[in-house]
Amino acid sequence: MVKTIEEILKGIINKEEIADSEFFVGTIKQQTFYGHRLLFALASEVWQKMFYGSTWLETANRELAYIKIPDFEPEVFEQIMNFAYTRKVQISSQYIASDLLRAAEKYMIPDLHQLTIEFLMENLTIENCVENLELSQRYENYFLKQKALDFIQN
Amino acid sequence: MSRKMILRVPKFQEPKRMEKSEAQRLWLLLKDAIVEVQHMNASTLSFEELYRSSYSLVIAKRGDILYTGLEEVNNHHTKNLLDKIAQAVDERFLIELNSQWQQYKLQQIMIHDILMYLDRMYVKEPQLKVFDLGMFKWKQNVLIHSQINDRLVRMLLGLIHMERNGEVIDGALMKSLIQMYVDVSLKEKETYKQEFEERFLLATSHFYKSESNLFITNNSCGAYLKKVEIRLIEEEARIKQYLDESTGPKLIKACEDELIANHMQTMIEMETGCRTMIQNDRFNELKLMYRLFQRVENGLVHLKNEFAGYVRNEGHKIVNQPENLKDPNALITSLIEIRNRFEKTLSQSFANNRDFINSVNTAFESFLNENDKLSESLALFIDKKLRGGFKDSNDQEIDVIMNKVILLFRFLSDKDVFKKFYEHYLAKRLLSGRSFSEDLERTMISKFKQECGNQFTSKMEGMFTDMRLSKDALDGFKNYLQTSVEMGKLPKIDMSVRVLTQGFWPTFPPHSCTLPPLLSQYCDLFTKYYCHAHTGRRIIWQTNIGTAEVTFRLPKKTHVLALSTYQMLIMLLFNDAEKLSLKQMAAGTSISFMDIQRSVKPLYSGKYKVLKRTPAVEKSKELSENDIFELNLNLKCKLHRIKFAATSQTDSEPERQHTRQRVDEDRKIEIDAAIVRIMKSRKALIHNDLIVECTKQLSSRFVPQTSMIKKRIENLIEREYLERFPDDRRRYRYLA
Repeated sequence: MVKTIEEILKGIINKEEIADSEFFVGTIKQQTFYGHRLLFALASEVWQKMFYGSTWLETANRELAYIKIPDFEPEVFEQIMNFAYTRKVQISSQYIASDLLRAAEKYMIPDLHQLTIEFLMENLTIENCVENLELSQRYENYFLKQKALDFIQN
Repeated sequence: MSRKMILRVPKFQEPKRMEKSEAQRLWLLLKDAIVEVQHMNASTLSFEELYRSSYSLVIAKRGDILYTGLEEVNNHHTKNLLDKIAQAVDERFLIELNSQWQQYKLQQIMIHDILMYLDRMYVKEPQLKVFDLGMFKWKQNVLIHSQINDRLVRMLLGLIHMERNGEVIDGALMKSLIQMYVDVSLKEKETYKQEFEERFLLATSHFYKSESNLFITNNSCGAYLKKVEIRLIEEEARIKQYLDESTGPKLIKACEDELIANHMQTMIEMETGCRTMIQNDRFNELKLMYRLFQRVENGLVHLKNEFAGYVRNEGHKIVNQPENLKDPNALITSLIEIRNRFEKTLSQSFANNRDFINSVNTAFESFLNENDKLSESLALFIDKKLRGGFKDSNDQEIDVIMNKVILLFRFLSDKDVFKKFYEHYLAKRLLSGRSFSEDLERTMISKFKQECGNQFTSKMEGMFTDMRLSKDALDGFKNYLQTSVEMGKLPKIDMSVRVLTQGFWPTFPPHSCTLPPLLSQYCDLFTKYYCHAHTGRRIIWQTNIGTAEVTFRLPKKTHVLALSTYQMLIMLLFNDAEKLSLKQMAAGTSISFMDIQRSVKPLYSGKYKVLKRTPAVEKSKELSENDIFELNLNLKCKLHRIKFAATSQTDSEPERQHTRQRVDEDRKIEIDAAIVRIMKSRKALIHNDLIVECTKQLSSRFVPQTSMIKKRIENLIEREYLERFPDDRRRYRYLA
């Protein structure tokens, strides 16, 4: 069987030998990820400017780009990377969902925003409905807001 | 019912409110970074960190600090740059300006990149986006500053002027500086248009106005055209090289106005101009002129009118040249020649432009119908060709000539006159056996048929059918003679008869003559045979268009003379007489004196003289009734068979008159038919409308005169096809 591009891309996630970038992620837990500039640039305009715009510290005089990301934890970054390589995410908790939503906002990734919102809407609970209402307002999502409001009223 | 709510605070929730001091800290971080960028030190800065800082400020609703701060930093920076640039002298000025501008643009891109989130979430109309803000500051503080703008434009225009005068300038530098005007324009390139383009176009018009005036007075039109073409190519290249493409059409228009539109009249009229080019078939120069004139409004109209005027004039000369009026062959040949010549001009120079072709055709129509000889000349021209003029041409050449004939024919307004003449000459060719090739005859006719339809050629085709049927009839007659009883009593002669259907053939003026008894008997036999085979038909003998061969026995030699029937009759008289006066000949044959005159002439005045006039008189002298002729027994001729023209080839004036009259008769019938057709469908019509409609219907065949139509209407009223309305005399009603 011929492998699909998706399978191939999935196989090179965090593969140090052939990576061209090093991501130093997290503040509480810290972890290094190895990735490919091109795939990140294809997922987000912000990364595109970072890697392919002007010469910044991250890429200046380096073979391996070095990016420090203290504002996301490794388990969230793992999903961001999943998205960049496969356009898919595995969301296992409310916490990861809310941080992915933040990542979508920061890096201007509408598709990731959409995936996360879908998850949040399907997993509304008494515990998280207020938080989700707040998220919907901060990240300006009308559908989540409406759904959370309905949930709270009922 | 109460519900217990558990709220869990996420670890990395963004702060809902940011302390002012924190905001200030982040801004200072960014400000330092921007200053570093302005010193081209970006590679020491972390994009991720700067982006994150600006993002945090904006998401915490502190975008205002960032935006106003940025504006100040840019303001300060551009003001510093202005001083630096303004100090540069001469050429250094452009180079310094350009290098600062290039750097500035790069910096603005970098600043934009780290402030992307500001653009996205904070900036709202009418605020400028981060990059545009940078451009605006440059424009405000550098570009349109009094120390820069005027100096820059003057230098740019100066360089362009130098380049137009053949010097080499730095195109890349030009492009970059001119593009700067576009880049700093916020919408619709307004800065570029206002500050640069307008002045550039003005300078261009100015330059070409003086150049073209000078050049055209000192050079030939051809050289000027080439110069214009080169200039236009250069300007096109200039657009690509360093101007904004939006300037293209305006620049070209300005050049075309100065270089072409303003000098069109001169180019047409000047000594080396359009007229001379047309006269001398300067196809390439005309082609260039066409291409250039095409670019300006009404340019081609001028050129077309000039060309059509020339065509009309040339044609007019040809149709009125005295030699041509006498010689139809020369006339048509020269017409075909000029037609070929102008077709060549049209295709080689004027791209076979429809309008040009039409106006040339209109010119042809007008001069071809200038005099009424043309229909006949054309018919005579073809007659000559079909009598053997095509002998030396191959099929293709023949086809070309025939098509040219059709082309000229197409322009004739009185096609019916032509038709009559054509039929007349066709009949003569067929009857005298002078047609060179039946195939060619049929090809020609089929071309007329294609052009005008069946009706036009039905009579001509009828003539061919008659010729074929006559052959059958004659074969039948010969068989009949062999079986006939009476045959035994008669000496054998070889008689051939052609039966012509009345209506297909032109009517020949009736003449009578006395045939020798033997011939007369044969004629009667044929009549008997034919009328028996085709009951209900009547035969009228037309001896005047017949031919005969007689044996001419001289003391030492015998010749066979090919003669017309009349000439035969005259020669036969000499069997019983030595000398005869014309009067006696007329009496002996019952031929009219005029025909006698015409028949005798070739016999005594041609190359071989079988008759001689006694006493001998000057050739040119008119014949009179009492002139006496005798056989020329000293005839010296190597040929056994001698052929004599029945009459001169061209028709005599009376015959021509006759043809004309017949055309008029036919026209009356055609007009009657048209009027009746129109009135039958319209029932009632005002006089003028009827005239117009009638003219329209007949225009494919001839142009009827209004007076003639009027007469026909009167005639139809008399014959009670139409009547006038009692209350309105100008209206007619159709009477069924």
